[in-house]
Amino acid sequence: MAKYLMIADTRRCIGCENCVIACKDLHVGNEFKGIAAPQPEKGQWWMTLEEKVEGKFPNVKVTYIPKPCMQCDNPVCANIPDKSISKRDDGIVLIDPAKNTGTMQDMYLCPYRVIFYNPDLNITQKCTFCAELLAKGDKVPACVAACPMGVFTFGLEDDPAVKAKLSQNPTPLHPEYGTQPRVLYFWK
Amino acid sequence: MSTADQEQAKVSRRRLLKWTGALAGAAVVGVGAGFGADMLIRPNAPTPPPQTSNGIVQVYVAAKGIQVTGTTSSPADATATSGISDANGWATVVLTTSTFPVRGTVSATLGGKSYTADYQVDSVSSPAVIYLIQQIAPVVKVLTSADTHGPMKVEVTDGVITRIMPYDVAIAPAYQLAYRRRVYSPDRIKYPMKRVGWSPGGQSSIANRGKGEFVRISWDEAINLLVQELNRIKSTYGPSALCGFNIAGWASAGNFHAKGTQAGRLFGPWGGYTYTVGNYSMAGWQWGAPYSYGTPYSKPYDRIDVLRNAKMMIMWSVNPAETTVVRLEGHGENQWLQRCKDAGIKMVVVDPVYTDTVQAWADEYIPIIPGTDVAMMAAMAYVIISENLHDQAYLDKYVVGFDDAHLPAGAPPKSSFKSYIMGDADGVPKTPEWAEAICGVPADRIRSLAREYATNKPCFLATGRAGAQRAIYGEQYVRMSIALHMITGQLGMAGAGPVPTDFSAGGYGGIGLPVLPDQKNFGSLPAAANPVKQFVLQMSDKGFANAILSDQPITFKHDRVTYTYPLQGNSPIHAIWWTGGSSLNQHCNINRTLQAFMSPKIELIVIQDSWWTPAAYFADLVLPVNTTFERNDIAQQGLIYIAMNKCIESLGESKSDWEIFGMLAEKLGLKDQFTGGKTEDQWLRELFSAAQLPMSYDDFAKQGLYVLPFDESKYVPPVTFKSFIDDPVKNPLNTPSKKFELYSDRLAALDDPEVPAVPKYIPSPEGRSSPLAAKYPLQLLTPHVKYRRHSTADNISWMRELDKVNDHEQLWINPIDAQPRGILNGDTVRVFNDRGAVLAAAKVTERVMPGVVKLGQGSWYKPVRPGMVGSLDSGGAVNVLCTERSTSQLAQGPTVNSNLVEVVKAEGM
Repeated sequence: MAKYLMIADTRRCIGCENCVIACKDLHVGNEFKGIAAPQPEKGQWWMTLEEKVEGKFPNVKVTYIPKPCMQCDNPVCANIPDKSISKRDDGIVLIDPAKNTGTMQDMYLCPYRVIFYNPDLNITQKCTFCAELLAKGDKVPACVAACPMGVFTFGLEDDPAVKAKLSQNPTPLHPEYGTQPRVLYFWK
Repeated sequence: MSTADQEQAKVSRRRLLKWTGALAGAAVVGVGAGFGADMLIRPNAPTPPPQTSNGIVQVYVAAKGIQVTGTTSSPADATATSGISDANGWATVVLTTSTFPVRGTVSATLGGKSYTADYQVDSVSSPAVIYLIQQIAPVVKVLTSADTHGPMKVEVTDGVITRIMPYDVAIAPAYQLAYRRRVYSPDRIKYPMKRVGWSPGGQSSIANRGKGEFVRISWDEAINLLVQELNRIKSTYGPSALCGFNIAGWASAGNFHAKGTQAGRLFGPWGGYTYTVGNYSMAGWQWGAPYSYGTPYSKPYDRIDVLRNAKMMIMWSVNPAETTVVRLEGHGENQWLQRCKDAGIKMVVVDPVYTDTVQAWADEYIPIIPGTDVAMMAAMAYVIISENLHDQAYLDKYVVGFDDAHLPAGAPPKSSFKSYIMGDADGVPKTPEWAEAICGVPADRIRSLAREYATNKPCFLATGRAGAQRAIYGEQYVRMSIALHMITGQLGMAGAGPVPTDFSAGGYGGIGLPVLPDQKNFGSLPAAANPVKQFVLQMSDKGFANAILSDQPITFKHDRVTYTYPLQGNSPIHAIWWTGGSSLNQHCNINRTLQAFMSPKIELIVIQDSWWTPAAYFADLVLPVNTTFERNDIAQQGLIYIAMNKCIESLGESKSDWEIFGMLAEKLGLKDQFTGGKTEDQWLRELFSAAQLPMSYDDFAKQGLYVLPFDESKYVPPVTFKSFIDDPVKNPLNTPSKKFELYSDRLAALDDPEVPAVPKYIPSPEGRSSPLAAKYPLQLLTPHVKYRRHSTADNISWMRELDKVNDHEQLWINPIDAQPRGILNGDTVRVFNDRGAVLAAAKVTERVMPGVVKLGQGSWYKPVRPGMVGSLDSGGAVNVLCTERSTSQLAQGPTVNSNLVEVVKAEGM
């Protein structure tokens, strides 16, 4: 079955944080049964914007890197005793909120640090690639829909728009982690 | 619990519903398409267990673990058990009987409420199915609304906003997508409040102003107190004693609930009010640019014109990536800039900070010392003139004052622009080497940019309408940038822009957006006349705070006229009424403003707002106002027409300004004058109809958003000043010479070295090389930041979590400055000068020039000693540090980018 991919073009990102807040707004206080428990008020950012600064003023290079869950093909987070994390046929990796026991091992196993603990519910949580929105017919996650600059391409790997981007050879963030992320980037 | 409390409670409505198993996800009705009807959830009853001799009643109670008791009424020997409902909400009541049918009741209690229903079971094999407690699906609507920064799709579930989504056509900025936490913020003002110890009559002590000691009062009492005070003020002093200070706030999103207009419609007929004059945004353009080309600032540049025609673009002290999202089109301007980049327009950015705009688009980044832009521009002019790259024919025909041969009559010799630049008059040629020593930009770079600018035309010169002109002598930045476009013959040239580029809003037909020739706009609520002619300046050391505090009458100048305060026949200010603006926070020199607020001369301060802003703590009476989500309105930006639908009920006892002023008007006998004899709904329909859109008002409200059809390929963009260029005789400019003026004899007549007749570089008294720099060696920049707009959104919890460190605003500081001060990234620091001190969190970064620190403006003032003038501010409000000294007597603009500070590590904080 074709799997989802997200391709982010850091050359087009202006650092506006729309993706970060759109995700927050979708999930804080809202439950999507079977897919995601509500996000707590504070402390969790399922999409973040990393600011990478290189060089010395004024010869500086700044890159903004949008960072959701990488939905890895080798999801090292899944290797935990409560077996609450699984990878779907469409590539999306989900933490089952009903099964997760909040031991936080998944949080520590993730090299990208995109898993968060919810002390009220005693579970860990992370980006779902908006599986809950895709299930009701939306074509893209909330972060992608909120981006004004066309940073993201999102879809199944046989989608023509996705294939067009893939042909330009985007690469992952930290490929050396070996987790085979499904989020790829064009770098500045 | 009120719906707002429900939202703020830990258990969301959706969480409660998860028990049922019947709700897989909210059913979302399409955008603006309608309003979800109540839906009863009736899940199928589970397959009953096999029965031998008894009947059963299957009872649905919509929740898990609920006890359901059964009774029997017939036959006499029948009995019923009770059952506990399972995870799907079904309970089973088992009957024991000898004959059928069995009749009785089932009952349960949920949420303190009792439910009972009758049942009849006819046989062993046919259970009765009773839906005892019905689950109602949440009512979910998606309505369109808007705030100043763009339209939104607002998802409302059971009367509570659950999600906010942007529209593709005008993508709102991040802080607006976080508006759930603004509407439901814990610091919403819910009730009218009165300061403890205040009573009408003008005799109350002001000792506890600012300390936040308030009691709740009813609306009736609030209105009566205000009417009593208004009558007293009018009869004791006259209406001019009331100051409607910055009565509008920054902007109202909609065309009807425009706070400033509505306030004026009450206070105008009441007798008038002392108003304020100034322009926080672009004073230098409003009262400087007319001396160059006859209008405050021209019609905005046209984006299609620039996209099609410009070869390059210089963005000078502008940061659209972070700051452009100030009007209803959200990120539209950034999207257009990306199109320019993709079209191959070369983009040069000049800024002391490596901003997000530099990051996004700069092909060339030129760092410059703050306050020295005019020196670099003068040097560019020197290169252009000395290398004969200027357009002499254009200057001869269209411009007065370029060279001594084209000075107006009576101008002294060697007073022309060229004489200044070449050093004929002052002996200082404004060479790139001269400029390099001042501005830090290498001479060769100035030279190459000047040559490119003058030959690679059209070059779109985007000097912005804020930025570097918000500094002492800001008028010079305005006039010198216009001068560059004049000497290269680019004013009136397609693609070059009219300077400034209105990056960020404009009221002039729409920020560079296309305006179609036959386009009709929504109407705006008409303003009322103000019979009072007295005003005070918003800014300057003769501005309102100093006016109030002065025991003697004062004189002040503005735009070449001298005024007095109090004006003949008018009263000094004794009352301040603010609606919807956070001017305490946003006004230079907060401590000075506080002194005015704490003066016993001010007998009444009324704040009408939705949140407990820093200013609200200083009020005597606080009136709660609802938000755009809680009322109807309409709004428009360019081709986009937006229905601002009411999405939720007003929180607490908040009301719209229309309702509040309406209540006051009624008691003051001014109802008809205020309302114009129309209800809100009648006004909305009338303002709507002015646009002549092809649908009814009701259909428009349902639809939410309408964009005028626009074929870009057929669009012919206007070019400002082109008509003057084509025929200067038929289309003269509004200047004494009827032409562009590099030399202004009106300014010459002022005989003030701070307002020279030709634009000049004047070293700043709070600049890098001023004497004060020995004491305060760091230049403070206070630009807008992307986490908020001015002070709006600084109280949004999600934005604070992103922006603040240890709940402090971040101060950008270069490692070269941080290291000798022992400051590490994340440290709490004290930023101070003679005007005050704030706390901030150090962001040690290579993105800011050494010698410069950046603290985003708009962070809320949070004094560690509330009510005390001079208190340390932990909120990082930049205006604690900013001088109220204005640009000059001409524009009297704010000078938020010419302040010096020192920064030290804050111990024990």
